[in-house]
Amino acid sequence: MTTHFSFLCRTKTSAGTNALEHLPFELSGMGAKKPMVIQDAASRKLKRHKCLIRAFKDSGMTLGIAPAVPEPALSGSKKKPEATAQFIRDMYATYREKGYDAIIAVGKAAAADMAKALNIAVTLGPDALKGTDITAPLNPLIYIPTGVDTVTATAASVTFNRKAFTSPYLAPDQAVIDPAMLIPDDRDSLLDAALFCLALGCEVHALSGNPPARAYAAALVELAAVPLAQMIGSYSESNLKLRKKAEAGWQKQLVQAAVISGYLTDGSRPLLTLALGREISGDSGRVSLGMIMTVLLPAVLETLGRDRFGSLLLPLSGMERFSTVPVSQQPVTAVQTIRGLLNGLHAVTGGHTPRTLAEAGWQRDALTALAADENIQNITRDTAQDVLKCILTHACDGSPVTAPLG
Amino acid sequence: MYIPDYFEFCCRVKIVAGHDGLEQIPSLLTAMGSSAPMILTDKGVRAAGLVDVVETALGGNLTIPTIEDDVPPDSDLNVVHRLADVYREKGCDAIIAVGGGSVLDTAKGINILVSEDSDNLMEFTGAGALKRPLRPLIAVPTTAGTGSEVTLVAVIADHANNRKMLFTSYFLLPDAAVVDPRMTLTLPPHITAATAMDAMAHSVESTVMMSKNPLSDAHAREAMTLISKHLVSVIKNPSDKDGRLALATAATMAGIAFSNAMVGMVHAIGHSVGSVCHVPHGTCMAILLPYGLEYNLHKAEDRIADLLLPLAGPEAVVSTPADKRAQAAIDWIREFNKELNQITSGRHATRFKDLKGHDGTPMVPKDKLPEIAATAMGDGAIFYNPEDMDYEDFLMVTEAAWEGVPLDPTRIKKG
Repeated sequence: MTTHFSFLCRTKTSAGTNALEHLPFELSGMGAKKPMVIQDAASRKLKRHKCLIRAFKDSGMTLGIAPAVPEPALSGSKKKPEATAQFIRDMYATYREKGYDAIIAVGKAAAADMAKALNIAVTLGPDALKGTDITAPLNPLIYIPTGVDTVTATAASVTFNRKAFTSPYLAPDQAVIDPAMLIPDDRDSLLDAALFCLALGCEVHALSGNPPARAYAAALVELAAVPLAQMIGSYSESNLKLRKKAEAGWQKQLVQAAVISGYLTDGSRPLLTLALGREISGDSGRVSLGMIMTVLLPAVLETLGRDRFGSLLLPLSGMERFSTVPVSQQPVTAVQTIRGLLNGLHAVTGGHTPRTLAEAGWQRDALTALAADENIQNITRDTAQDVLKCILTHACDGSPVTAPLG
Repeated sequence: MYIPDYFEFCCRVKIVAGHDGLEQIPSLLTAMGSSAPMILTDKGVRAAGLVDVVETALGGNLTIPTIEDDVPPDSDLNVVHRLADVYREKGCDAIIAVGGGSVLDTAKGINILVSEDSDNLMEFTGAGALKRPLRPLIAVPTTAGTGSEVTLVAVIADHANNRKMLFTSYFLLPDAAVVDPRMTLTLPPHITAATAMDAMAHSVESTVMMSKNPLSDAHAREAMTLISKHLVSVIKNPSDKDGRLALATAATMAGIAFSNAMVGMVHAIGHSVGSVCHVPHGTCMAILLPYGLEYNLHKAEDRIADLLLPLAGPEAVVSTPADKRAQAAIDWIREFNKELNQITSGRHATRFKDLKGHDGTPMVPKDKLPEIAATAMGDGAIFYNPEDMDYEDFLMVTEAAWEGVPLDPTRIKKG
């Protein structure tokens, strides 16, 4: 561990069967009596709020059901800013007029981000959205995911009208994961989420000296690795009924992972797979963020891990496998396991998923230039240029890093 | 990985740890809009010079309106009310609690009164009576063991009516726990061992209980790894600042683990031994921990086997067959206790019959064991234990821990 660290996760996680039924008690404990429900379009269309109404039936609380949030909403969105701003204005007016005192966000990151921005407005006044430091708790905010996402809904940050807000008080007070609220995700979305969580968790667990962050990361890797391996193993399952049943099980676990991933992306630590992955997947446009992050992961671990991440093999492969590998081989086996997942996925998809950045369409020269890019230097918190170059060029051709730089 | 059908996990305390942890307090308070904190401690902590260390670290960056050290070993309702008046009179706007469980419980009580502008703490007893955030509270633990800096409970004694009042709310959690090795640097070796084994018991029991979950397990494993790696070296070299930081961090993480997954029979019997014979809690935890695992072995063998990695390290796991790992984990704890006994010149006891009071008399006379077993029956900690226990079971475990012999597996009733 390092000689100095800090960690904060303000979000309570509750997950599992009938999790919703605890929500009235939880909100009551926060002093809330009249929550407003914000949903994304898919949740609204499938009337997921009806599950909430049932859970609140005997609670004595009044729920307000808002119209669906405009899609896409806030984080990273360059579209429809006027619709987003208008929605916030409308919901702010309704919240104040009808005396709501908490927000329940139902859906994916679009709903969560909208709720965060609205919570700034209703707690601190609408002018706060022009920019302010958030130094005290906001009104109660609950997030109920309906599926997996690689935009971290539970992160303590939000971007509104291109203005970034970061504060621990922006994170939801509670994330409630109830299988009854889930809307089936397609296989590609599940795969992308699994890869995203795997890469994020592996990087933090292997490279961080922050014990609480390492703990969350270990759980994240375990939650993602098993469904990912099973998805690859049964990729060709032709029985639709069996496949849907399996996907529902994976989704339950991956939604938990996606929620936890937000706890590790509060901006307090540089995450190279995420920062580089966003740049690269954003530019290529055809390869998902989770896929690119996992392609980068072996090179990130080998470049910066200095062979000291053998413990990663346990959450990645489980005790049975871990205990068969000599300690000296555990770091290299961990990386081999990650490469094995990428290779396996490449095989079952008939070569449609990349194992290297070259297969994702990137040229070595372009990646070398990217390593020197000033914007990348800022995003990766001034990670040395030769380190970035080493990671990107090895991820380009998938060759192992034999001389770590970190 | 064990994922229960339903679980909850929460720790809203910001953990700030490091050799300069105390120096971060002014910026933590500024970020919360506070500038005039009361320092709350007890006379023992103050006499040990730890408040001076805190004051020096704060430098001239904060106005400290008052330092209050009149906190008894059991927090007291009248003390809470009196100190709340002091808080108001001196114009304080936050509390820095420097100490252990009693100081922190007192700080939580004061914070309720001053935040709710009340003069009657009784209005807020029980669970869920608080409905909004309280004023800033920063915990600075001075032992690396209890984990009280990350628990959402306060126990405050009403001595006039001979009762203890329980307060439970997420709003009672400190805003930050400042983990700084300077606070534990002067702990003598046997107390370092006992407090670390208290944290070890929190983390080990939390992974065996029925209410465990993936996040509590992950926190517990990190805590166990840090304790098993650093405790012996810190006792041999008490000025090992990095090791002290690791143990203090482990105690906080173990506190997070057990406050989310609960504890079991080790704590139930330990509370009872403490109550009947006044044995320090950490000592009870160290002695009883292997017995808690032995007793639950048939119900939780896989979970106990998984402890071998954080306790003994990867080499031990790789070299031990899967079906031997649970017993190996139990054996490892017994051997660890023996090693702690040796390097503390026998002051870290491995069985109850060796414990002596200041006057040399036995702390746990054998004729007290029935009373200990009977008292343990009423302890709430047993609720989450994998295997049930009746009076005979409690007595059997207590007798074995007194004698220092392993449990006879044929006497364990397998429910």
